[in-house]
Amino acid sequence: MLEGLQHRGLDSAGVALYRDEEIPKDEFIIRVFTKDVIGALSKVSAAIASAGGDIRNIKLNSLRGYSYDLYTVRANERDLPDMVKNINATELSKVLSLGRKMDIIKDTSSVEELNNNFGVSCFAGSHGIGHVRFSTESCVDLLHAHPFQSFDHIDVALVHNGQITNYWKTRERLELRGVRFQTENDSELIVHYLIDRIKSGEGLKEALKASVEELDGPFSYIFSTSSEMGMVRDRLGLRPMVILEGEELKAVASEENALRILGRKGTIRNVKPGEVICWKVD
Amino acid sequence: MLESGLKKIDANNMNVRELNKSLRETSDGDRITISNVRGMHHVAAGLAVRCSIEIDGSVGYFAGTMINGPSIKVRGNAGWFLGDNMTSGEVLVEGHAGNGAGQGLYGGRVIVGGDAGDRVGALMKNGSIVVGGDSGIMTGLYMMGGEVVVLGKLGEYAGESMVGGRIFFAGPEPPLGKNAKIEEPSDNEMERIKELLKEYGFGEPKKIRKIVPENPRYFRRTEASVWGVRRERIRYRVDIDHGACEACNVCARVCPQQVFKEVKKGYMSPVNDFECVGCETCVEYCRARAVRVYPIQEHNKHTWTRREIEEVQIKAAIGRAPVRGMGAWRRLPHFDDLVFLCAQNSRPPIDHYREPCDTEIVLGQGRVDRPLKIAAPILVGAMSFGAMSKEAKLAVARATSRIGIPTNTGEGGMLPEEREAASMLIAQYASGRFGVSADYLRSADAVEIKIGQGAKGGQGGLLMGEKVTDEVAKVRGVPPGSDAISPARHLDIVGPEDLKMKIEQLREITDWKVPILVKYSAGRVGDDVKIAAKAGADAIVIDGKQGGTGAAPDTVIENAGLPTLPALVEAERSLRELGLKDRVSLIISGGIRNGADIAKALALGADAVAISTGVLVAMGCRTCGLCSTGKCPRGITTQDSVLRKRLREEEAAARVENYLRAIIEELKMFTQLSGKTSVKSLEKEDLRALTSDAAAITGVKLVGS
Repeated sequence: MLEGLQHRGLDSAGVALYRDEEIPKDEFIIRVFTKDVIGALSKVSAAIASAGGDIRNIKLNSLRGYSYDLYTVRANERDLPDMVKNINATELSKVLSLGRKMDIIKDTSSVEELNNNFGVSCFAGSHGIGHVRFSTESCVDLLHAHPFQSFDHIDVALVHNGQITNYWKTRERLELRGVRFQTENDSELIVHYLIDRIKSGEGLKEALKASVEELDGPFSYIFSTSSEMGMVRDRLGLRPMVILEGEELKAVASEENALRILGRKGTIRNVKPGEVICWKVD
Repeated sequence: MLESGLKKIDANNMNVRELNKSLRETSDGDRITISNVRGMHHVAAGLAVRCSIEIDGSVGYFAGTMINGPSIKVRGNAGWFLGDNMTSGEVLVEGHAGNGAGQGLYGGRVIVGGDAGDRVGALMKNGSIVVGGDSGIMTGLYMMGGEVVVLGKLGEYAGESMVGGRIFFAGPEPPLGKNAKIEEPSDNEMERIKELLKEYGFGEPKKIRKIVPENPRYFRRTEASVWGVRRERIRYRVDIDHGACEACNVCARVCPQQVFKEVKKGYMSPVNDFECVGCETCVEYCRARAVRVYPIQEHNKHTWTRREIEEVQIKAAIGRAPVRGMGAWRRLPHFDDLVFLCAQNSRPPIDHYREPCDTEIVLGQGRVDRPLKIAAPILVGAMSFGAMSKEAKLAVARATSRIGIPTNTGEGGMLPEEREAASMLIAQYASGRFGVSADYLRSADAVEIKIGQGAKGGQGGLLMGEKVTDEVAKVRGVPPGSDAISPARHLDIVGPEDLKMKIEQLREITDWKVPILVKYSAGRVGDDVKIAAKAGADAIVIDGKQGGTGAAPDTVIENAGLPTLPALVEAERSLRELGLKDRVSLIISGGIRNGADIAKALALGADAVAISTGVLVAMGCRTCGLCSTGKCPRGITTQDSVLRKRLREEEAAARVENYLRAIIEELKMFTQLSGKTSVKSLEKEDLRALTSDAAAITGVKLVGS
C-alpha cells in the first residue's frame, strides 16, 4: 500500500505495526536507534536497568553504522517514561517505539529499502499505519520521520499529512501540563494532544473531535492504539483522505490507488472535511 | 489492432510518461481502451487528439487535465482534480470523483456518475459539470462562468464567492456561500439541462433550482483605493509659476488626480493639491515649465509621522484597508549596504573596455529538452496583461528580444502579439489560472508556477472589472467586465507533495521540453526553497518585499514578508544544504534597480535576477502607486484608451532596451574590476558590508574587519 504513495514523499518512510502474538503482561518491546560505537549496547542496557528494567531478549539489527535494536524488557509500566528518558540521555540512542504490541520501524529511505531492510511485509498482525514524508518546516532525519509516538503512553502511533499552524501556542499549553517533547515536529504535537485528552478521561472520538476544533491549519492524520484507530481531516478539507470499508478489511490512505493495490472488496469514499472516523480493532 | 482505429493499451508496465506518449501518437477518431491504469496520476494530460478513450479501472489525480478534444470514459473512480483546466472534450467517470472535479474548466464537459468531493468547479470559466450523486462543500467556489449540475445532495456553502456561472441542483437547499442566491431556472435552461442529463443517461429529476451570484461585482472596492477619496493628505506641494504659465490647461488634462483647475480665465490653480501623488506628469507635459511639485518633509514626531496620520485619516474616510500599487516604500536592509572590493596588486583587474566578460547563463540544463539560454542573468518579472496595457507588454517583449533575455506573461494569459514579439517568453501559471491551457504552456519557453509575490505574500488578488476590457477578457478567458479573482493559494497546491505533483503534471503537459520555475514570496524561505528543489523545480524565484504589485493593501506591502537581501541569503543556504546548488537555479527579485544590485545578488549566490519595476521606470513610471486604480498617467498600468496613447510603444521599447543594456554593462564592470571574466565567478568574498546589520544578515565581512 505504502509503495503506491511513494511519489508523495521521498524523505523518509516508516510504519507502526501491531502484532497478534501476546506477550506476558509485565513485558514490553522497545525499539532503540543507536549509533554503532563500541560500548553503545552496554550503555543502553545500563540505562534500561537503572530504571528497573530487566532485559529478556535483544534482537540486533544493524544498518549503515546505526542499530535499530529491538529489546524485550520486563518492567513496571510506571517506570517506562523514566526508562525512555534514561535511554535518550545516553546521547548515543533514541527510543523509536515503546509498546506491548506495537513496533515502529522508520528510516530515511524509500519504502522498498525499508521493506528489504526490515522485512516489513512478512509481519503478521492485526493493524498498522504507515507514512512517506516530504518534509515541510522541520528537518529531515530519522527522528522526524513518521509514525510518531508519545512515550507517556504505550502502543500509540500517529501519521500525519499537513501542518499545525498554531503549533507553538498549543505546545506551550501541553508543556505546562507536563508533556515532554522530543522534536519540533508538529505531528508529535498531535500525539501528545490526543494522549493528554484521553488521559483526562475523554474517549478517542471526543479527543479527535476536539482536535478538529482546536488545531489550526491543513491536516489529515491517522492515530492508532492497540485497540482502536482514529482518522481526521481538517475542516476545510485541504488534505486528502480516502477510506475503504469492507467486510473483511478496512483501510485508509491519502490516495485511492493505495487502496486499490489491496484488491479487496468494499466501498471506497472520500472522508469529509472535519469528519472523524473511529474503528475498533477486533 | 482489431479494426482500424481501435487500439488496446495495457498500462501494466508503463509509467504515466510512456502512457501519455502513446496516447499522443493516436489520431483523430481513434478508439482506445486502456487497462491496468492502477490509479495513475495525470492520465491523458494535455491530450489534444479528438479520440475516444475508455479506461478500465480507477484513475488518480488530474485525469484529463487540460485536454483539448478527446472523450475519456473512466469505468472506476477518479482522484482529485478530474478534468482540471480542460479546454474542450469530455471526461466521464462512472464511479466517484475526489475534490476539485472540473476546477478551472474553460470548456468541455466533466461528468461524474457517483459522488464528487469538495470544491467542484472551483474557478471554472466555462463548460459544464454534471454530478450524478452528492457534491462536497463549496461547490462552485470562485466560479466565473459555465454551469454545474448536482443531482444528489449539494454540499454546504455552494456558490461561495461566485461572480459568474450557474449551479443547478435537484436535492435539498444547502447553506449558501457568500454572494450566492437561489433562483428558479428559466424554461430554456430547464430544457437544456434535461437534454444534457438525457444525453448521459441520468434520470430526470423532479425539481431543479439554480444558484447564481447575487452581485456579479461582489468584490468591487472602488472606494478602497487610497487615491479615490478626498482626504487630508498633503504629501506634495504643487506650485504654478503664473509668470510663465500659458494657461494651456495641459496640466489639468494629464493629472490623474484632478489637482488643477482653471479657477478664472487664464489662471490655473492647484486647488486639489492634497490629492497629488507625485507622478510629475504635469511637470513633464508643461511646455512653459511653470508647474513645480515638491515633496513635503516629514515632521519630527516619530510615532505619529505624517504618513501614519494620513493613513489613519484615509481609514477613517473609507472604513477599510487602503490599497495601492508598487512595493514597500519604507527603508529596508538592501544591497546598498554592500560594496565590492576592487582588484589591485593582489589580483589584477580585467579591463572593461578591451577584455571580454561572459554573461550567459542557462536554466534547466540537463533536465529538459530545451533549457533556457539567457544572454545576461536578467529576467523581466511577471506583469500581467490586464494589470499592464498592451503597449507596455509589447514594449517589454521587443526590448528583451533584442537583448536575448526572457520576459514573462504574468498571470493574465498570453497575448498572441506578445508571443510573436518575444524571443523568449515564460508562461506564468498562477492561482487564478487565467488563459491557461495546454497550448498556452506549450507555446512558452518556460513555465513559472507562481505561489506568491513579494509585495503581497500570502495574499491573492483581483483585477477589477473596469480593467477587464474585451481584449483582456478574451486573453484571460473570463467574461468582459467581471472581476478576475486570483485566490491566495492554488486550490490544488496546499502542501509540498502537491507541488511535486503539480510539477509532474506540467512536465507531462509540456512533454519535459521546457524548464519549470517556482516563484515564492519571501516568507519561510528556507523551508519553501527546499520543498521546491526537492519537488523537481529547475529554478526557484524568490521575490522580496521590495518587489512591486499592481494592487495590494498598503499595510501588507509594508509589514509582511522578508526584504530581498535576507531572503536571498536564506534561499542560497537552503540550496547549499541540500547539495542542489548546481542543479537548481536561484533567481532573486524585489528592488533590483541597477548593475551593482545585480552583481551583489550574484556574488551572494543568485544565478540571475528578475527586474520589473525598473523596467517600468525606464518606460516612464514614477512609482506613484496609482496602478491599482487603472488611472496610470503614463499609460503603463491602464486599459483606458486615452491614457494608453501616452505610451509610445517603440519609444518605450527603445528606452527599456537602453536601460537593460546599461545595467548589463554595469554588471560587467563589477565583475571585471573584481578580477573576473565571467559573472558566474562573482562570490561573497568579493564584497564587504558597510553596516554591521548588513554584515550580520549576509555573513559578508564588515569593512575593515
